[in-house]
Amino acid sequence: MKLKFDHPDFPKDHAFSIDGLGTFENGKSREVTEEQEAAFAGLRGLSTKEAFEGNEYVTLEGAAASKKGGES
Amino acid sequence: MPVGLGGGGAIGIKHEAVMGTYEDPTVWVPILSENFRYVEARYFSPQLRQQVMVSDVKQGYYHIEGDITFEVDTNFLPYFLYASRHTVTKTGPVAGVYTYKAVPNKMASVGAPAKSLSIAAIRNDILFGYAGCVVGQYEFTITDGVLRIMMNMLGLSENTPAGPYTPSWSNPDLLGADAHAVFVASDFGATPTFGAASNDFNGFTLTINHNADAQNRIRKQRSASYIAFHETEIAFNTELDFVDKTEYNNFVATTQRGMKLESTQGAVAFAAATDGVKLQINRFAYETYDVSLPGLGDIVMAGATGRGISVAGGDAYEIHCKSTVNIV
Repeated sequence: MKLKFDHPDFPKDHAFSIDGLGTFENGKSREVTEEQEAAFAGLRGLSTKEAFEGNEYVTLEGAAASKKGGES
Repeated sequence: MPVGLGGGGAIGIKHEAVMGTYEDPTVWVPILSENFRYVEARYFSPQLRQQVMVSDVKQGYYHIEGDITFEVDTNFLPYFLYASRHTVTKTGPVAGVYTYKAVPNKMASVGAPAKSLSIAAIRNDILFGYAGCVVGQYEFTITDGVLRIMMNMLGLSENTPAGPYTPSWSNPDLLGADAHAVFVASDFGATPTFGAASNDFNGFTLTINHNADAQNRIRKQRSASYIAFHETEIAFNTELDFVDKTEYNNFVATTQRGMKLESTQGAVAFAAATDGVKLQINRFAYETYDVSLPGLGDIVMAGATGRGISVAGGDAYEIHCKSTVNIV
């Protein structure tokens, strides 16, 4: 699965970090590994897809159906 | 839910399209503390009915109020400059850096083009949402060499965010001990004449208080109708090395001058295309200047406070922030 962070207020190379998923450069998409997804789910109790559904500035490519937190 | 720590919390903000209409946060601000709270004038009925205690309770008018403190970070300060009785102009970019300049205006409440904030607070993983938030008072101070700001904010209403929220964090862009310089002008006015930086300041606190309060009007809602601003009070306090009587004489004579604090990344001039903050009072007079003999081994210092005064044809104060953030 790829996650793209695209916040219009911030410069294109601005780094954003998300607990469990690591750092993303604004405007670019990056592969999220299964390990990172699991780490995120362990921290948040949500799958990556559930966490970012409807998020204005984050898009997910190739996300599987929603899974409840803790499952990986 | 087990107990939580402050460090597990988060504050998110978003400029509102319509003041008071809550929007999910899109910018996460690394704060030091907050205490937003629901403030209600609850009604307890004092009916006389052969009992000597109140006999009923009704929900009353309410608003949101609280302080938020963070280390000044140029990624986030501009959002809060818009959310007050300020006229903000944005220029740039120059080498990717925008300059935001906030000056006071005479509006009685926040209206376009100023922008109110929706604020989300995550406390022990539990969401709180506040809408129609504006800044009533800014207090900038240097603590342990780092420029900090504490803002007193008021909001119109509390909301129940749907969530879930997933904060995303920027790298800190703090203004540390080598960033600051204080200048005292030789005159006052729209553009005071500043010379070399002073080396005598031991601490610097600038307070801009718009004396905001929540106003409730009769309508079928309990939340605040608007946030009103009253007199703007500009004040600073500091401690100065007492090396001669010049400033004491300026205090007695009510000498009026300009003053500014410049804080820039990398100890460069504020004019450069580098992140930074400039806090400028264009006209001030000392309000107090106290010097005394301290203890045997203590340095002779003067405690000074001053007050900002309006400037004919200019602005009483200016807050400048250079930032790579581009707020539309």
